Amino acid sequence: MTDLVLDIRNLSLNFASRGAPVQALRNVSFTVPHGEIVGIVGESGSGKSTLSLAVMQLLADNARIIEGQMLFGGQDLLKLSEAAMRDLRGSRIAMVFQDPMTSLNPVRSIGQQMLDIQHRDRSAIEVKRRKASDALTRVGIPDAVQQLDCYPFQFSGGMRQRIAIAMGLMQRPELLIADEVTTALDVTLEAQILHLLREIRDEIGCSIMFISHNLGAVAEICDRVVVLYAGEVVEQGPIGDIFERPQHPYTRALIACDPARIRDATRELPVIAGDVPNLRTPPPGCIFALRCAQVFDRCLTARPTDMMCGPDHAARCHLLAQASR
Amino acid sequence: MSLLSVKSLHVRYTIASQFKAAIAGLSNRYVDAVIDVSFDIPAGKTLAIVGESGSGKSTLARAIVGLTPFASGSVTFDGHNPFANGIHPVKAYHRDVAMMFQDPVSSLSPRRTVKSLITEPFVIHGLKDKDLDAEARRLLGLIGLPPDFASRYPHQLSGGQARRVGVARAIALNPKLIIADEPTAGLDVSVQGEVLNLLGKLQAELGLTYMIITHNLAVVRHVSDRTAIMYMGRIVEEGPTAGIFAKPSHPYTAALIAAQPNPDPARRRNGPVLTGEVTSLRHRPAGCEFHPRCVHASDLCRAEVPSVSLTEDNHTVRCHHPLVATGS
Repeated sequence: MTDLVLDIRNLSLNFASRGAPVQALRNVSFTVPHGEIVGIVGESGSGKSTLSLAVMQLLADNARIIEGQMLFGGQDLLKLSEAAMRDLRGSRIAMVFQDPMTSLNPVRSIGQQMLDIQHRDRSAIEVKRRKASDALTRVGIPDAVQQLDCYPFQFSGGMRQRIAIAMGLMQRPELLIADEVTTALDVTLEAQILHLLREIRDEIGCSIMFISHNLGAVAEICDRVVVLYAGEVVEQGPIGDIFERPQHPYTRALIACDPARIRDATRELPVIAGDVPNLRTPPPGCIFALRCAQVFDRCLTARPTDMMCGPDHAARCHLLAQASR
Repeated sequence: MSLLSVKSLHVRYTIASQFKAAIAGLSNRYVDAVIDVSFDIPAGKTLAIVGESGSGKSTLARAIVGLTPFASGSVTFDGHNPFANGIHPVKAYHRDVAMMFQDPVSSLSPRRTVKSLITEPFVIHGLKDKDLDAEARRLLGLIGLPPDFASRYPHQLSGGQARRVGVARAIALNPKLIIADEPTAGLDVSVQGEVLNLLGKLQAELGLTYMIITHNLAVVRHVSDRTAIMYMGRIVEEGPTAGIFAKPSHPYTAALIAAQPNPDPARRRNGPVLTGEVTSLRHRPAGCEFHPRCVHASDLCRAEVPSVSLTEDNHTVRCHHPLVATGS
């Protein structure tokens, strides 16, 4: 129990809109064990970012949590007051966003912004500055003390992302949410940032929720993977199981589509035909039924439940229920 | 025979006026975005230009289509020099060479219908005698969208569909060469294949020649015949795609290929293969531009810009210490 940093149980979330609400997350359950890196994989519109913002409680005003629990160290985040949540954010749960140019304030120096984060800390300015420059040094920024007086535009994209990570880690959080942190970076920088995240996890022992659409990056650093499709967790399990023995047809198709996985050069790349269903009126059966190559009549009418297909490895597919019968 | 031939192309941006340079004490008022770039694309083939951000790939494309003037060098298209009359190419060139821009959603006007967007090239080129409805139907058929998409607006399209409309605009006037700038950036893997397969199908049906600009090596391996790797404005290696991936000659090419994240948890790496970042173009390193990040760098690399040489397996490479022996 206590070795779970985050335990999300049956979370459903709607966005109110004109007409029917958009059912952005439906019955999402997964856990983030202490010291592990959990990858949340999905395509655009699958609800990855909604999920991370839900954990941070930073959702837009029209978001309604319909049911579920989000236990952070045993405490339900949904029951916390706004003031208590503010105490958690940035200190025990930190988040790093996709685009470091928009998440850093362009008109304040890096040092000022790093002092802002410590506004609750009553130590002297010198102590705080020292803490900030130590954090920058830790993520590989040379001459950190001088760099504190520089502005975001004076850094390259990779450096900015390092600074954003340094800010997230400054208070030594128990959980770091990394939302598409390498998407805007070139491959050589991506490799450096992934390596940095792994080192930091080993050093301060925090858990990381690593949100990405890039299977390569996920394979590189994660211990567990949660596959989201159109607001539902279709499969989750240890990284080796997901990549070696994917059970859900969506996971299989997603892995098969990655051109980096296809060894021999081909002009005819595999695709997943069709579109993501409209989340105002999700299909009554399996969420993936309309694009699934192995669809049969039951998929269109009944919602599948999670089937265990290995220790700690679950997939939500009727085919598995059939096979086990 | 090559359809497009580029020789020693050089593009330079002015970053400060003479006055500003004088008061700020700048020694160099220019940034060289593309330096001494030469390549050929045979008709019906695909050349991929690969490089990190800031390597000059987009500038190179813009210079070839005439959107950015170049300082020196030459472009020969189908045996002619389209820039014979100065920096603005002859109009026929714009019909023969089409450009697909990076972000399809922002390159499509949100207030125009798909039909109006895909038939705009006919209007621009004064081809008013064409039946625009019929052309719209023909183009939608080619890109694999149903005819009723003609009345849709860009916000009603998914990312993949918007990219298809971008393809339709590019092929509208039956061009010979299409320059595609990051044709799949921002697309999900499940949709990325659709767009690439469409480009492949059109190439086979219409005999198109492609120049594809991308930073995604996984895609390059599947779609291109030849690949050129750019670093800080220069082509550091060029050769057949299969050869580039099997046996890279330039240390940068090798590092770039090794830096690709491996979608296989069993083959994790222990550390990044390439440290450091691309140096600012304003402070171009002396000698070989790659030497500050290169593991093979010697004193020669720090002093002298390497010239182009030909390796045993017919790659051109710009390196003092190529990984494959050069035949000279």
